[in-house]
Amino acid sequence: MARLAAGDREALGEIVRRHQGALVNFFRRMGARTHEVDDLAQETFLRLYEYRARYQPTGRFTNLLYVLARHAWADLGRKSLRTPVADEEAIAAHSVESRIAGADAKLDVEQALTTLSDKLRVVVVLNIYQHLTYAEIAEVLDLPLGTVKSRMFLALRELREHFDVRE
Amino acid sequence: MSENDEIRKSCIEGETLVAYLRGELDASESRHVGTHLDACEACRAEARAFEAVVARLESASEDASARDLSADVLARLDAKEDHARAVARVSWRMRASLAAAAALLVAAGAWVALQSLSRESRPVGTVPVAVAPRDEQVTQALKWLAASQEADGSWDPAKWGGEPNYRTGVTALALMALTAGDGPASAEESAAAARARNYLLAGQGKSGCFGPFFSQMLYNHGIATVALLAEFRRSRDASLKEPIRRAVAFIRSEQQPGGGWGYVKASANTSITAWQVEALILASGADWPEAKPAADKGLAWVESMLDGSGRAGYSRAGDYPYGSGGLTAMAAMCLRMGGRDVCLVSGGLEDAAASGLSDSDYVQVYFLDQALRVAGTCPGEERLARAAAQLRHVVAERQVKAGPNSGSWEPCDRWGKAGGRVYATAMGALSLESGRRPPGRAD
Repeated sequence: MARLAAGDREALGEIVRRHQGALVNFFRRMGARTHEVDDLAQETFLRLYEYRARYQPTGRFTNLLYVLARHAWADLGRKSLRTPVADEEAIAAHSVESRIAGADAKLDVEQALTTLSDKLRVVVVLNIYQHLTYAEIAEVLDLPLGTVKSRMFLALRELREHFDVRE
Repeated sequence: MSENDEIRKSCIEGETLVAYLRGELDASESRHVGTHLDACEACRAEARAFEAVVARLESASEDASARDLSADVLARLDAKEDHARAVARVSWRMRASLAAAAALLVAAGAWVALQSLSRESRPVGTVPVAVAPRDEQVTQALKWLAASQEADGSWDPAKWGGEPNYRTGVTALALMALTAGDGPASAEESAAAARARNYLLAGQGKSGCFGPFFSQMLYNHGIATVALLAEFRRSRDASLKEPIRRAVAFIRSEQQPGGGWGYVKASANTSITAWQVEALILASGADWPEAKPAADKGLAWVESMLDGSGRAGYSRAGDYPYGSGGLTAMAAMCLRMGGRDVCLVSGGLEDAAASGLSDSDYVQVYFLDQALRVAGTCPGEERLARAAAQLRHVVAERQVKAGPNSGSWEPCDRWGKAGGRVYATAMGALSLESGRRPPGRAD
């Protein structure tokens, strides 16, 4: 990041290659449509480049990346007034893959995640899949620790009801 | 009180139980919860239920592989920096004069101002607005268009996933793409543009209408008139004057009493009206002042389509059978080009800019770009320009990069079934070309 702050563009390329997988999966699990995922990840890296001069190495670098990713995602949601839906493209792809063991379960989970509100889903995604601690999530989302604790509980309770109803 | 009652009194709250399962409690809290769970069957059942949910979520934790995005990110960064440099090259004096022209547009109703802005784009006395070099992607798109042109100068939409009736319309769009910006850059492009122009002129009927008579003919006609007006503005070719006069007369004759245009024997709609209004505004700003009253009436009709938040309806305010983004971008272009209250639609336009990103409607991106050609002074103008630039990036990334259709765009948006690949490619090229010029310039 120090190299990036000094304007080293190759450093940006290295950061992209190192973190693109995490971001792509973050946006996918947040409910971005297939064709939006790469664009959102790229947008996050461009925002990182713009932010480089103000970067203070006080926290984990990935936390900053998720802060920027969250803003990119929120901007898209705010502008398009979209409600999360299971990705039609992913579902279409799934119909081809449905014979593969485990694919159904995976799609069930992804669909279940889309039933959560954005503010609950982001906590689950960051904790379960991106492996951030509650304290890190609080930093990324700029929330009190107690709120993160409470949202994680509410999210799991809703998902539990969702799975119970479907069985 | 029984022992069980005592245990239940100290039952663990759900938030704490989940935090325990996620390893988020400190050692002392964790010991406390663990001890309680050993003794309390009810809390153990709760814990098992939450554990099952977490296990189920984790069963879907396999990450999808990501393609390498680094080249795309660096390319987008280059494009952004090129654009910023181009804008920076515009002198402050020039920017001030554009702002003054914009203010004049708003304050005075500004037909005259629009005319003067339009004329700035003529070859003689061209205003030195910074323009980046033509993008290689545009060149590739035009190469594909030139290669797919028919011998008679048209493009056949049916060959490329569209409907045969729109042959005139897609040919006009291809002509617009070939002559956008500084005009054809090669002999091949120039020849293709000339053939397209001749095809359109040869297809003008006695009524003045370009293309065949059918329900949606005004799409073909409006687009062809816009394309030929752009060609006239670029070339000042006097042989275009009479065909354009007749085309304008046909648009005026088809205007409905309420001021809009629609399918044959159907209510007016914003989509068809936008193309006619664009043609009339361009015509009245050039050599056809008789177009102005019809343009004004059309603009009043467009204004009547707006709801309280600045979104345009399809055939009446609040009517959005296909979403409001594209319609609002169309209305915004009309009202801004026509010197109307440009802030009237700015709220809706922001929504249009945003929804364009997810819906990938090339027509919407085109009209949004056209709207932003006219400098606005409303709140959110910078956000709009950024959103439009972002949309262009999305469009740019969808260009086919390899194979026989390299340089074209897949006809995958909502108009793709009508216009096919030729339409999508022309729109893609127009969008990218539009991005070369800083916003706030009417051309």
